[in-house]
Amino acid sequence: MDAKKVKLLKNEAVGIAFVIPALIPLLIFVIYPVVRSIVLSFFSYNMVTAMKFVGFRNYAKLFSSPEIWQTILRTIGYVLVILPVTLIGGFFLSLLLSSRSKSSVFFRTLYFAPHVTSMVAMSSVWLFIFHPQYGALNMFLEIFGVTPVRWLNQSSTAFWCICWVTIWRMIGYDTLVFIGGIQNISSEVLEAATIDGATTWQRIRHILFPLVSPTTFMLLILNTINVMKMFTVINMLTDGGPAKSTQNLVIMLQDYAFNRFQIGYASAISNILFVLILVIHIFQRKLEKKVQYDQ
Amino acid sequence: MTNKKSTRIIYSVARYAVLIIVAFIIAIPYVWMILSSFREGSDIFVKGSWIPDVWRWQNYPEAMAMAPFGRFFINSIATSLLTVAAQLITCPLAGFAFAKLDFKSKKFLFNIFLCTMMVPSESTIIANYLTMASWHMTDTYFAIIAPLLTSMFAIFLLRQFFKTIPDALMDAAKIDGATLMQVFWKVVLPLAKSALATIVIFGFVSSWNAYLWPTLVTSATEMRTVQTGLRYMVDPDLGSEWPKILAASTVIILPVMALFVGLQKYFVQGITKVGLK
Repeated sequence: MDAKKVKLLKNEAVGIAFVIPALIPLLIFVIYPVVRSIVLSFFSYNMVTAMKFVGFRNYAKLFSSPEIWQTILRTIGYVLVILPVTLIGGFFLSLLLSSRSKSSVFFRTLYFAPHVTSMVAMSSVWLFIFHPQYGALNMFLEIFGVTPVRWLNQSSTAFWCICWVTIWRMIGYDTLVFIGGIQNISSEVLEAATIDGATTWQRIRHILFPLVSPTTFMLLILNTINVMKMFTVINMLTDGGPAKSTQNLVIMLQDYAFNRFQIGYASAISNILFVLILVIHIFQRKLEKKVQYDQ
Repeated sequence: MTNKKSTRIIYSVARYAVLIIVAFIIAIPYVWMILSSFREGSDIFVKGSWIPDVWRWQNYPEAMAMAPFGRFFINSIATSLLTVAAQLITCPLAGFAFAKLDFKSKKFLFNIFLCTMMVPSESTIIANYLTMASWHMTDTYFAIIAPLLTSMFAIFLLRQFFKTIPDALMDAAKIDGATLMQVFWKVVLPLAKSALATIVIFGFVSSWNAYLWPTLVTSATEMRTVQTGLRYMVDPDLGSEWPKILAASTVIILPVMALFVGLQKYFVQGITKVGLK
């Protein structure tokens, strides 16, 4: 009995010892910051003078400012524009690329490249492509007699430019994940359908699409979160402008924290971002469980 | 029969047409970046041709001289390698514990780890910045790599992999008198080579491309990474300096591109395995 207890205790110690090198950084740089940023959001603090407790005043000020609502709408707007294109486009491309031929591998490698190359570097390229005077885009459009457009300097086009660059970056990733999903479906199922005389469209609609739906769902969640958190592209192309029309929550919180030093106010903004993403995660968990029960 | 054949040909042509158009759209910024990086500064204002009139190779050394890029490269390489080293210590151990060890608090700890995945790192930058400032650690390599010391992606990937290793294999080694650490080191890790390669590559790339946090936590020029260094060079009003910016951009993506082209298999493995659980 005692020996058993000692063994259990030893197992416990060994297990914790294996986990602790990863646990410590998570506690310090992920869990503690969540708590601290909740605390900070109830204070007024500028990193120089002492912190001052202000209760819910940061939130009151935040929610009564039109800026936060516009920014939340923009954050969601990016998701609503970018997701349909990358998901539908990615699914469609994966249908064309699911074979293991050399040409498929070539194309999917190329499509995936923007996902791994530095967005600072590639955004500076896009910045130049969109340049009103000597950018490649206006030069190209001039052939058709289009007068030069100030792509990034007017709110009517800047938002779409950012969406476009993000789609350019993400579509290859979605394609690759869908290919993984399709290759997981047993070829027997598809062959059986072919023998039954199903047309290509019927096979895609009634077999392929339902069978990759777990992949679709996972991508939907992942893409939503990634688009909500995007920073580099916006920061590089417009930094939220003109007139904050392209600003999302990350740009806003960074601006208030590190340009204006309103730490408490900025913490309240980061808590909003955190809660929004948390809600998506909880929604995902709930739905995943439901799907599992159904099966 | 001929009808079926012609449908197949039409399908094949349409497929290639779509694939090539998309490939074109994806590749344009890269092609344009490389071509324009060789242009004469004044050439940039001349409309028309994509191909530079004169190939100006000096743009590259001149771009590197615009800022202390040598130093930025050293910083980026050092922080990326340190990130990889840190993740190689923290992630396999945790992944192994969650996959193969049996202990009471395992479930509880695993849930904590899962919860941290729900926290967007962007919402922790303020608190983390204050932590670094209070430790007087801003402008250090440690500050730059701090949020990447461990990676849930890597822990998950390794946990999945370790689960596929049969217990019998580990038990056999234990019967031969090996300690748990020896089993982990000599039996488990060698089997996980390809999974380890995947996490090394992902760790390196994510650290190399990191931008928001390294920018916040470095203020001294000599502590900047290549990404932050490039950011300070970019200014839409630069005009004739643009070819040099593009030269610098080309150089910055080169290491990752080389890794990507050479080790594609591991990128694909990382993306498809973790995604599908």
